[in-house]
Amino acid sequence: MALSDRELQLIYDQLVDILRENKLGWVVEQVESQTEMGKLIEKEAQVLKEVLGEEDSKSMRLFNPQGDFGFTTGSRTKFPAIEPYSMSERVLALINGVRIAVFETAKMEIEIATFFAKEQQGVLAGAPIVYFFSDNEEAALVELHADPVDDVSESVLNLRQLIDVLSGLIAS
Amino acid sequence: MTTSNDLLNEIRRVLGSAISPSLTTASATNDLFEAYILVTVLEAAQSEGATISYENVHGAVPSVFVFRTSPGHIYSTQHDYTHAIISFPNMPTLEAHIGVRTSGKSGVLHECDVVVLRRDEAETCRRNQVPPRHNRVILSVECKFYTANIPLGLARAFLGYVTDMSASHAVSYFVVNTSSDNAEKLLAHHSKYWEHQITPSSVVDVQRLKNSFQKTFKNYQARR
Repeated sequence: MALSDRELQLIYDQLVDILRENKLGWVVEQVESQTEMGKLIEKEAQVLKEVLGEEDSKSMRLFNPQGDFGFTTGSRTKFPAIEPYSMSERVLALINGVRIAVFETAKMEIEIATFFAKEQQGVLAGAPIVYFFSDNEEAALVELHADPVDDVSESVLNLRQLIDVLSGLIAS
Repeated sequence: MTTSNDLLNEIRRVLGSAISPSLTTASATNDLFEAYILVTVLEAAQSEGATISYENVHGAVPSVFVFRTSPGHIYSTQHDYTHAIISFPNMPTLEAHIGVRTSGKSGVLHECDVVVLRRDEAETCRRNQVPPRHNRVILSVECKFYTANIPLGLARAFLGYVTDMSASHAVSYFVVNTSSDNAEKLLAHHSKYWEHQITPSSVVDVQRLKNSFQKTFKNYQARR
């Protein structure tokens, strides 16, 4: 049975809390900036054309109290329009944000570390290989290690499985 | 049957151990993405026959690779930032950098997330403490890592960037890990180079990006 909007809102709020507890509030902000704006859709509308005076008495007129003109109806045309996200779409967008943040970042870290470890022959497994510094900071903000493991950790895979199941529950 | 509450409790339990320290800010993940794109650029150059080596701002061979988290000057000695040296046979040598400021046609400085430029220009800039000029750039990439659709404003900003950075042999790319109908429509309409869904899991999209970079290097070599 599909979850109600109230149930979905509870799941959304709990997920937001979990992310903020783990310093992933920026994921919530990015996803909400998307969902608050609404989604781009195509909407069909009948195009109107202004008719002055009585010059087209056979055309269908729309009453216009402001002036002595009306509109004829033209062809149906597709317009871009904005539609609000449903509650389930909002939850799914947030879940997808977590998937990107955790899983894709972990994979990128591995690819970067593996590439530079290969370029730097003789580097010891587990040794630091890549640092990210800012001009304004003394300490490295991010540090990657030459890891002998070429796949994401068990906990990342476990998390991925959990969010996939949650995603399936929301979408059903 | 597993309920949503069970799942959320389990996610709460697992999340802390699954996230790396680099995940705690949006900018840190963007830094990783820039490095990931640099790797893609270097692999593309290797596929086109380049040999790659590395040095830091002092000209020494680095023992570890150090990259910028915020845009800086190519001549900055604040840290031993690493750049790659890309050598194609019988062609002027190139350098690849992350996060350096480059001057556009207007004289305004722009932040290039990933940039490949002539080595003689880079060396001139390091010795004279000036930013590289746009017409010595071979390839530049604006990198955006988002956990949602890319805001349209980023694509609009890229159009301004390309206008000021365009040169006869330079190719500027807008590369994102997600997508956005709005941003993509805008860039496609203006015939700009863009790639979306660039993540390690999207093998086909990453290969297409690598092929585009290879084409840029192929064209560079054809100028000999």
